[in-house]
Amino acid sequence: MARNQREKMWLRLDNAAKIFPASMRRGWSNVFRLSATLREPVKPTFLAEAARRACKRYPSVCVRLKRGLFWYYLEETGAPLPKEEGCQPLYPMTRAEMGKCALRILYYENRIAVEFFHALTDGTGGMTFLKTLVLCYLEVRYGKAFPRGEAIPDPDGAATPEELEDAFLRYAGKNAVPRDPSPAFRLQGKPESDGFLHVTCATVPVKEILALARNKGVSLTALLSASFAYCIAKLQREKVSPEREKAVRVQIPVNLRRFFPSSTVRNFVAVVNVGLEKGETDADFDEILSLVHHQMALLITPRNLKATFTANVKSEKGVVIRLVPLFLKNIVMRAVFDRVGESSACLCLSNLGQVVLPEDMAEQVTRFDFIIGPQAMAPYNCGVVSYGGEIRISVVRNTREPELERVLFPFLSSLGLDLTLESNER
Amino acid sequence: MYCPNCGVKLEEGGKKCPLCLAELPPSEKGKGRSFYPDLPRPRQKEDFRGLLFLITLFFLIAGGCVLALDLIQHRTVTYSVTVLTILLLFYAAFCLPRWWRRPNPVIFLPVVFCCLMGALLYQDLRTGGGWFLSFALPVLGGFFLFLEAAVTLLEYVRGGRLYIFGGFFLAIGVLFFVSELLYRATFSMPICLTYSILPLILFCTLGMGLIVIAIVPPFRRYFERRFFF
Repeated sequence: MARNQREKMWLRLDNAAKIFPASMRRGWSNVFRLSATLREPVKPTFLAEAARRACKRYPSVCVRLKRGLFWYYLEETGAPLPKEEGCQPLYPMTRAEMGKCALRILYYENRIAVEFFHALTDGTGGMTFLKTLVLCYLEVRYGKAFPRGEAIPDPDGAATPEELEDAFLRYAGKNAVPRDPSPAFRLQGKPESDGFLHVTCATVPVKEILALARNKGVSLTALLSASFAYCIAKLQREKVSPEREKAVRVQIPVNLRRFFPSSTVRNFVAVVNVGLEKGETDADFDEILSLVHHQMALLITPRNLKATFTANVKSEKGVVIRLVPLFLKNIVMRAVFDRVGESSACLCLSNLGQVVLPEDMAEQVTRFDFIIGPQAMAPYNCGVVSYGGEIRISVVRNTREPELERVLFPFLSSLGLDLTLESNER
Repeated sequence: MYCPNCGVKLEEGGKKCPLCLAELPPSEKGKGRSFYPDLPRPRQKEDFRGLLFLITLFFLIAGGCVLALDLIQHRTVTYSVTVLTILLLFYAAFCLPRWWRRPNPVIFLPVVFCCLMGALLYQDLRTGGGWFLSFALPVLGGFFLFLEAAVTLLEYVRGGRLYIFGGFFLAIGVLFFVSELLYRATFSMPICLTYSILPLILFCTLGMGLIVIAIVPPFRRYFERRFFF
């Protein structure tokens, strides 16, 4: 039988991705979700065709996770068949599912959603994929070409080597900064017996929140991080005696493409922790805001970010580590993840920024949502994205009581923001 | 809309207020589009490994105790072999596959067969019965062979279930016939057919019936409509 098919492409995991398969556990994997809501109901047959085009364009995104002797790797696979959304977003992705395809394409009424295992790409890469998928869908749906401008790469082009590169390796320097392992306060609660994920999305006009941030002299991310830190510190004071108080930190992923030019669609992100150290947790909001603002200015610099990811690249490059079999690596990496990765912050606040679409496409797309799954050991996380004059703050939790939401959203309202909430409460 | 309990501003379509968890009034329910589809969550497979560990421990302790008691009482193994055989067979058949999330019966059936054959061979050698090679091995070996073939086909071949079950029943019917012949030959009894006639007729009729249903499309459609599940 003639073999016309080319050999399937395979990729090493990028530097940031290496931790994600190792840290997976039963009922939890590091998955995030991006969705676009259209004006009209989504037609699955058109979406399947669009998925085929988009997946062909981004072979590094449409992959499955495979085990090697020493490392995991990604292998190109066909486009997944779009499925109608189930009961909840970010339903845990099992190893078996990732072994087939570590990407889900879903639809529900007017919404197209893509759920990514974080080892495939980061929020920016995921958004590029989603925008291309939506463009392909609209082109198939309406049978005409949509001008794509500079915001979206050519969906019929081929993936460039720059898009597939592990940009960490290109930019890693010599100096590394040690990680801060001191533990932060851990939000807790009674977990849902069936693992249900609650999503509460607050919609705020961008103008309002930007005006507030400018009025305070800080960035939008700093304003939100400080609000989270303030509310978590308040919860900690209610729950824990002063002697047992811990640091209250918020983890902020930083898109490294802003500082190190790269067009990669794989992970290229570093995280910084901002917030209150032990003993500072009784600070008022303006103090916290100022603290967070200055911490961000100090930490989010090309030099510091480079030193942050250089530490990770160095640990990946060690000969001894490379020669250790995968199952042993997994044990060590998971311990490191639990000790350093998660415990040093209370939650992760990922702000994807503003989504820009070409004018013709923007007429067809009414909203974007960005949700990140909860942490492995802590119940909360938060994804932020703005589009069409509105910013959406999606807080997820896997516990029963909305303790943080009850403090956070009224607090944001008290700052003068006009919040509208929606949730999947059942 | 606003939550009637805490007053927070909400989008239309929700069931509960996300902050105070108050049920939204019926008049507001169903208005607008719900944020996420309202479907039951698929059940996740439970992890029984802890329980399996305890069961394994129980089997080991029970087996060890029986063996020790037997040795203390008789200075040699007597009834403990039978008890250990039963325990081993039970464990191999029902507990061992559960260690895997998706146990493959194609692999575990031969394991059970080997355990059973080992136990029977031991009994045969201990009692000097001389029935293992001439009766137990061909009859049970044949049975497990047919079962393994059926299970493998069911596992790896899509469709053709009527043929697989039909063939299996036919083979079992014939096996009854052969088993009686071997039984009589082994124990030097006159060759005639008694207990195997009824199962032979029953299984062969059932097997042939299934194959006929599989071959004739109108039959197949009729039975599909009548007995679908």
